[in-house]
Formats: sequence, structure tokens, C-alpha cells
Amino acid sequence: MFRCLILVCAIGVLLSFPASVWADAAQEAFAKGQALFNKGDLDGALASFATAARIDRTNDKYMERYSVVRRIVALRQSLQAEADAERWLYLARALYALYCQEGMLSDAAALAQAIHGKLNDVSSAVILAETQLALGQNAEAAKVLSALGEHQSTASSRALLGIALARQGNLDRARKISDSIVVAEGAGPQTHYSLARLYALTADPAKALSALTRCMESLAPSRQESFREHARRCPDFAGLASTPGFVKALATPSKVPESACSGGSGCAGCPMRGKCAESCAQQGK
Amino acid sequence: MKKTRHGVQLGLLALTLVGVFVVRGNAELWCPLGGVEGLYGYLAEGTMICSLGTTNFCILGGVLVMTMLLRRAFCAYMCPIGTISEWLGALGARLGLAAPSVPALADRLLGLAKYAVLGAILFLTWRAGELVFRAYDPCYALLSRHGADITVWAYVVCGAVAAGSLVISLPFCRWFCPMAAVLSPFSALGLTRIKRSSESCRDCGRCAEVCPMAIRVDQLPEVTAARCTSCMNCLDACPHQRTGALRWGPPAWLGAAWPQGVLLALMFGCTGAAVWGAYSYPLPSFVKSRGVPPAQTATVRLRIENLTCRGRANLLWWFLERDDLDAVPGYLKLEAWPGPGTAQTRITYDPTHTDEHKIQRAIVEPYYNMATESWWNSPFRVEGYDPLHSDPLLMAPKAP
Repeated sequence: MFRCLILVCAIGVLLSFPASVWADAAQEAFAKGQALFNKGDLDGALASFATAARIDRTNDKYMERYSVVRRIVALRQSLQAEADAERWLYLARALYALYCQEGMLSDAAALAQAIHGKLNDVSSAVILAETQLALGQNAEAAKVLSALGEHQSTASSRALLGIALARQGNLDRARKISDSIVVAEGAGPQTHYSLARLYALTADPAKALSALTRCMESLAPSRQESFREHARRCPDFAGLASTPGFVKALATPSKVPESACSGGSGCAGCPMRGKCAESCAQQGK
Repeated sequence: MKKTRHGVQLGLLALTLVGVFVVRGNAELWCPLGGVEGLYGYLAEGTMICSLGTTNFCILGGVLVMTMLLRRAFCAYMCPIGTISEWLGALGARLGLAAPSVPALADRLLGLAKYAVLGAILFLTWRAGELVFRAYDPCYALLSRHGADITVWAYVVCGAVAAGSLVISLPFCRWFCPMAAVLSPFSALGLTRIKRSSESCRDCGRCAEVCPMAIRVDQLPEVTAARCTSCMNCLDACPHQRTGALRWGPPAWLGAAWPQGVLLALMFGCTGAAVWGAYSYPLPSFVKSRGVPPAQTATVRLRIENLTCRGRANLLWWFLERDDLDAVPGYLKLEAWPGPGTAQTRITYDPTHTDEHKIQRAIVEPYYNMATESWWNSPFRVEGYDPLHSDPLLMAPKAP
């Protein structure tokens, strides 16, 4: 009996020993990858994440990081080699979205600058200014947006200009801008959001909460959470964040219908239709 | 004969109910009308309507062959609506609810309605690419699991059919059933028929009285009407059957009179062959291709998770046709068998332009959508795919 117990323990130790060693090695490679990623060495990070993913196939996190970094590296390489302007823009926008998702704001700003350099229109200016504001480069953002002609500016660009000015302490000009903005019917959530930030900075909480409510209403349910997260961390809402009105505005349900549809041509015949309807109803609440 | 037929009806209805409510199978995959509804879309676009599969074509083929041999025996022996309508008719007769017989002209005119119903169904289904009739289908109301997809109208039609069946013999089957409209031209060519011997027949009229399809058997030398279901109620009711007043069988050169066992053997033979064909040679229910096939192609068979329906198959094709870094250049053909769990696919490609690994990468990698300014994650997983395998970015020599 005692011998059997010893044998079982020995087998257990033999089996568990390599597993823990593998797990540690994978964890080590992953940590190294993360450190290299933070330093900006994406090639090194990619190799380390790949090593971690190879060692421990059960940990999805390793493969996810490898996949994301791989996409960034591949997009960077393609962007450098791309000669077609339209295709370059597609790749640049895709990479910009990845940079923002990964919190690589300096890279995002540099890329946004390059995009603006090529397009030089209001949409590229807004993207660049947004990134600069996220980095706290308020004067630079104001400069980019001020360079837009009157005929070029939109509610969104003017709201961002107001934010940049307010952050620099130029509240009077920021208020003037906020008073002059007319929001078009059916304006996107980003416009309402920028306006909410501007109203919050110019000490107009009622308008800020109203704009934030409209923003949440016009967002698809699947996009609401990322906006909520941003709003909670956004310094422009610092004066409002602790108020019940702010919490209530963020909890505003979406008015945009959205389903978990897979892209079929219609719902009538879909075998998943019962679940679709259910998820739509839940999201619409 | 009647008992045998009722036994077959009961057994098949029980089998269907167990399949739907216990095994939780998709009864629509085995509906012959589904084969008619899905035909146009499959031939024109290579895709089956959602909920249907190429099994529908097999069962439709089996039923059509059966009809050319046995007339509309499918209606009298296999169709659940026919079975339930007949039982309700018997109940109505016991309760004394039976209405007076419908005049022959009205019966004939009403019989044309089923062609209009079929025409409307096919037109709307082919135009919408969806099973439009399902919303009003009494059969679906009975054999679905009564989920969110059922409309009140399906129950209303079902109730109307049930109420009508209590007072009139098989009103839906005679006048409105779209499947009957499909079968009737084939039934008119039917090999077997009821034959009446004018020497032995005493003209009692019992055969005509019991005919559920209101055929004047007593006035005909042979029943060639397309609506005959070969139920053999007339043979059962005939008091002079022993003297050969009524017989059922093929033309004289094939033996003239057959026992009911031959009918059952042929019926189950046709159905069995259809089921065997569906399982042995499954056709893809989703086929899409791009470009002209080159002289040499390569094929890869992949098992893909979350490829559940036609919508998902469209999405898979969308990912395969992507135009970003993971694009698959050259000729491409996707044949898929969407379904729950892991679905089978066969992808044919130009090996001079791409390879198996790139195809797998195109299926699983996220895609950046310019319109929504967001990355779209692929819902698909390819069984056995390893993204780390032969990744050119990992293998490329790094610049010093």
C-alpha cells in the first residue's frame, strides 16, 4: 500500500514538474515580450510572444498578443512598401486603429500626422487633433484645427478646437465656439461626445450631460462600453464624473438596433433567428 | 389494408415527432417542398435557403419517383398533415359533423387553388431568398418547436385546416396543398391505378362514398385522376372485392394486380434510396466561386467552427474575398456544408497564387473595416490551424 502511494506520488511529481517548468518558461517569454513591446521593439516582442504561445498552447492570452503584434508589424511593413495612395490610406487607418487600441498614442499621433499630411482635410485633421488631445498636446491640436478654413470646419472639429482652447485656459473663446456650434440632425456619437467634453470644460454641466446622453443613445450597444470607459477616464469630465447625472447619462440605453447577425441576407429563415431576436430585445432595453 | 396504412401513418408521424421534439432534428431538411423552394436559389446562386439543405433535393427526388409509381401515396401514407386531417375527418364523422359533399364543379375549381398557392410560394420564396411560406405553413406550425420563428398566422391556418378537416374530407390536401400541386403532374403519369371490373362490380357506389378525394370510382373503368392517393379505401369498402370488382396494380403487362405490400416496398424503397443518397453523396448547400479556374487547381478540406448557417457561410466567403494583407489572390471556390458544431468545407484555389496556410489565415484573421473604422474579428476557427506554423514574419531575417 505504502509502496503504491510512493509510486503514485513519484509519477505525479514527474508529470507535474515539466508542466510547471513549461508554464514558467512561457510566462517568462511572455513577460519578456511585454517588456520589449513597451520599449517599442515589436520584432523582439513578436518573437517572444510566439515563443510563449508555442510553449503553452492552452493560454489564449499568449496567442492573442502574438496575433495583435504580428498585425502591427505586418501593417508597418506593408505601409512602407505601399505605393498606391488609396491602399496606403486603408493600411494607415487600420494601423492607426490598432495603435489606439493598444494605447500606442505616440505612434498613433505620428501616423495621424502622416495621414493628415497626405489628405489634409477635416476628417484627417480631426483624427490628428483627437490623438494630440489624448497626448495632452493641446496647443498642437488647436493649431491643426485652427488651420481649417471656416467652410471646412464641422461641428466635431469646432468642438475639438474648443476643447483644445479650454484646456489651455482660453475659456472665453471656447465658450464662444461652444455657443456657435449647431449640431446637425443625425450627427454621429463622436460629435455628441466631443461636444459633451467641451460643455463640461466650459462649465455647462446641463448641456454636457444632455450631449452625453445623446451620444450614448446614438451608439450601437456593442460600442457603448468603450465610450463609457473613455468617459470615466477622460480628464475633461473630471468635474462631472462623480455626479449622479453623469452616471445616469452613461447608463443611457442605445436607440440603435443591433443584432448578433452573421451577415446573412435576411432573418426569416435563419436557424439562429430565435437567439437573434432575443439579443436584439435585450440590447434595446 | 386500412389498418396497415394507419399503422404506417402512425409510425411515420411518431418518428417525425421523436425526430423533432426528442432528437431535436431539423424536420425542414427532409421536407420535399423545401426541395422545390430551394431549387432556384441553388441553381442560380449555389446557395440553399436557410434551414434547408441538399437533403431536400434527395427527398424530393424520392417522392417524385414514388409518385410516378404509386401516384400521391406520399399524401396518404407519409405526410403528417394528411394523417392528422384524415384522423380529424374520422372524428368529425363520428361526431356527426360531416357536411354534405361539395358539388363536383366547385371541387374542381377549388382544386385549382393549390396551383395558385404553389405559384405564389415559389415566386415569393425565389424573390426573397427566404422561406416566406413558413409564416403560414400549417405543417411548420405542427412540426417546429414553437419558438420565436412561429407566427400567429401559422396557427391560424393550422386551426382552419383542422376545423375544415372535421367537416370536409381532406380540404387542405385536395384544394390548397402546394406539395399536391407539385405532385399532381407526376401523379397523372402514375404507373399503378385502381381498376374496376364492370363484370364483377354491382354498382353499389360504396367505393365513391369512402374516397377521401371525392373520386367517382364507381363510374370509372380505371382511376387515372392525379389526385388519387392510392389509399385503397375503395378496395377496403368494396363488398365484391373477392370477385375482383376493384383491384390495384400496374398495367396488365406488369401483372395487373399487386398486393399492398408492393406499394409499401416501393414507397419505403424510394424513401430509403433518397435518405441513403443524401447521406452518401452530400452536396454542398453553399457554393461560391471567384474568377476562372486555372489549368491546375488545388483543394483543401477544412473543418470550421461557427459555420452554422447560410449567413455565416456568406460571412466566411466575405473573409475569403478580403482585400487586405491576408487577401487570397487568384481563383477561389468555396463549397460548404454549414451546420451546428464543426462544419465541413472544401476550398479550391490556384496553387501558383496562394497556399493552404494563407487560406486558413484569411479565414481567422480580423479584418479592418474602413466604413465602421473598426477591426472585425472573425467568428471562425479552423480545426488544426496553427497561426505560428510557417509565419513569414517570424522566419524573416532581421535587419542588423
